[in-house]
Amino acid sequence: MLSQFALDFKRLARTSTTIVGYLAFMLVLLISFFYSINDGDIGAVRQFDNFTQTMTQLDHDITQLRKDKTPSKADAALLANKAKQKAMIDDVRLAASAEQGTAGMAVTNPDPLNRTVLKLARYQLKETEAGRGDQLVLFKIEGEAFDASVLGRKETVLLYQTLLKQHRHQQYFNALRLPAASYLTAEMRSGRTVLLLLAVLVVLLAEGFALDRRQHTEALRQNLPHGQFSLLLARVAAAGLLGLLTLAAAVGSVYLLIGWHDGWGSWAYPLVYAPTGNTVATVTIGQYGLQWSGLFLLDAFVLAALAALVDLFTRSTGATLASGGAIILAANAAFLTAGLVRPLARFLPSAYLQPGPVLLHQASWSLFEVRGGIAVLIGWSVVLLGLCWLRLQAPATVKTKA
Amino acid sequence: MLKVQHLNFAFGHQVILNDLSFTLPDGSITGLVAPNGTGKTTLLRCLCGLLPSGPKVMTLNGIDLYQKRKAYLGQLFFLENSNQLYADLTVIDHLKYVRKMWHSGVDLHTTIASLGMNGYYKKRIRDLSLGMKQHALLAMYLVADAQLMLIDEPLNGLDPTSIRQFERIFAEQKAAGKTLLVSSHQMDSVARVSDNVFFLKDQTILAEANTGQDMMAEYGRIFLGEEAHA
Repeated sequence: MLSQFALDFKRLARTSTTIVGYLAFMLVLLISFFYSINDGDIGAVRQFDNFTQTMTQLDHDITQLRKDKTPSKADAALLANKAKQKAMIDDVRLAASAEQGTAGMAVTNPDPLNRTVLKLARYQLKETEAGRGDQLVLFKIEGEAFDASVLGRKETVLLYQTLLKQHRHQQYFNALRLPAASYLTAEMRSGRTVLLLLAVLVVLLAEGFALDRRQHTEALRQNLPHGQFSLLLARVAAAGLLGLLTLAAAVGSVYLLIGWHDGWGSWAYPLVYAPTGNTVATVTIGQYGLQWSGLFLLDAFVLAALAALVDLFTRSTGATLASGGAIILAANAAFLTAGLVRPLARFLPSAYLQPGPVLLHQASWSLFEVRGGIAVLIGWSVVLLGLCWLRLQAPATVKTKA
Repeated sequence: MLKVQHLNFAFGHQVILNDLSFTLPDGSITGLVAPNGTGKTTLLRCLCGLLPSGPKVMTLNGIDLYQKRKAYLGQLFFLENSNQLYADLTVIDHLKYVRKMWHSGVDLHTTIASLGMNGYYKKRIRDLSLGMKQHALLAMYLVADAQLMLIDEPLNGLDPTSIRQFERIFAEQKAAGKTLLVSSHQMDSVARVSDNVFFLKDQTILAEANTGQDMMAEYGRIFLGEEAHA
């Protein structure tokens, strides 16, 4: 079947749809880039603003507490707590200012800022674990999810521990905008971007199955001395692989464009996540990218199998697009956490269409572990292809037109 | 040898083929003649399983289409017309593909040379004239090297030189033991190459051996009701 695969791949690759798909993938991946292209120092300024807002809030709290000339023991302790936080965030701002002052120069030392932030983060963790989290004024880290829980505090500590160990800036610091590696990772973590990429992929798959119908070239394929199911598998593989390669080409192009414009970044930058309810871990964005690609590959396989089945039954591109679109729309949290769907969500392919929440354990809907998710996706692919096989065993029906 | 027994086919209530039975021996060329819309292409589609006919109706060298579809199709080649070639691929792409899918050992460049396609075998189908496409299609038949060739109006768009070239190739294939069923409206050509002629009329076949009779006159007699001239 390699010959059939090669032929299908070559034919599909030469259609204008592939070029359109490549451009669509590029546009989806560049939405954030275009959105912030005219903003200068976006990350560093925002992060500094986050620290400043924290400082302002602490100042306000302290001023209010000091108005009470005869504070209770609890208020006195709270004032001391706030003052301590203020001292630490002051150090952070000072280090951040020094850092910003040297930004753009050839070499800067990220350790002083990371050290001060780590100190503050450890304090916040200790206080949160002691049940005094409500007394804290937390700061947001640009590019990271904000989480006031003990787990969220642990993640912040681990992030800055790792950055300090690697002598690495927080990704928004010392950069005008996110460098290429971090930019692509942010896009891969964005649910909107991933679902749009899948939508483009569905269009490519639907077009792939409609090619013979559109060009009136189904005859030779139907006459081949080979099983129709193996021919179908060849088409699924060709359409799926071409879609993924088109996406890979778009990702590569975006990487080059962002890298040229905003710097390359490092694939060793850490991503912090919580694999269980009380532990945190790191993964490099390079490793995350590979895992993401693996899961996306399986997503593509499920969608290709679905497209094959729907096309086989309906011979309608519209129906193929609609079915793929439905699966993608069902991949949002609102649907997967809805009353009737919630208990079944972990068995649905849609629950695993966004690799980010699955890999980083950030989904708000019920999921199996990553291996379980892989099994679900493979299982659905096998079921859908099995239905294709059954359909092809059915006796041919007589056409009503010659 | 293709053996057909009691082949029936209808589009809905419209009967197209009614209880056809015939045999196509190895090393023979059979012309298939009928006016447009009579059912020639439908018959060819039935013979290769594109349209359903039911089990135990057709066997090719003893192999039943419905029992061993792949083995049956491996012994025949049929592509309705050159419009069904892949426009974005080259002639050589098609020939390589057919050779692999039919597990054929035919040398591509010999075939290309024998059909005079050296000048355009690397061109995409969309860039070829109708005559060139007809040559590419015939080349696919030769490369498939199948026992049974079902050929639908192969001479459309061909100049007289090419028609003679095609007729020569048909004769060579016959000499090599192949079985050819060729539908055509070119009665003079049918007369030159066919051993037998199937006139498809009223959903059934009137088979005639080619004994040198005037095929155009036969056509007129069968389909137009014209009296044969003495």
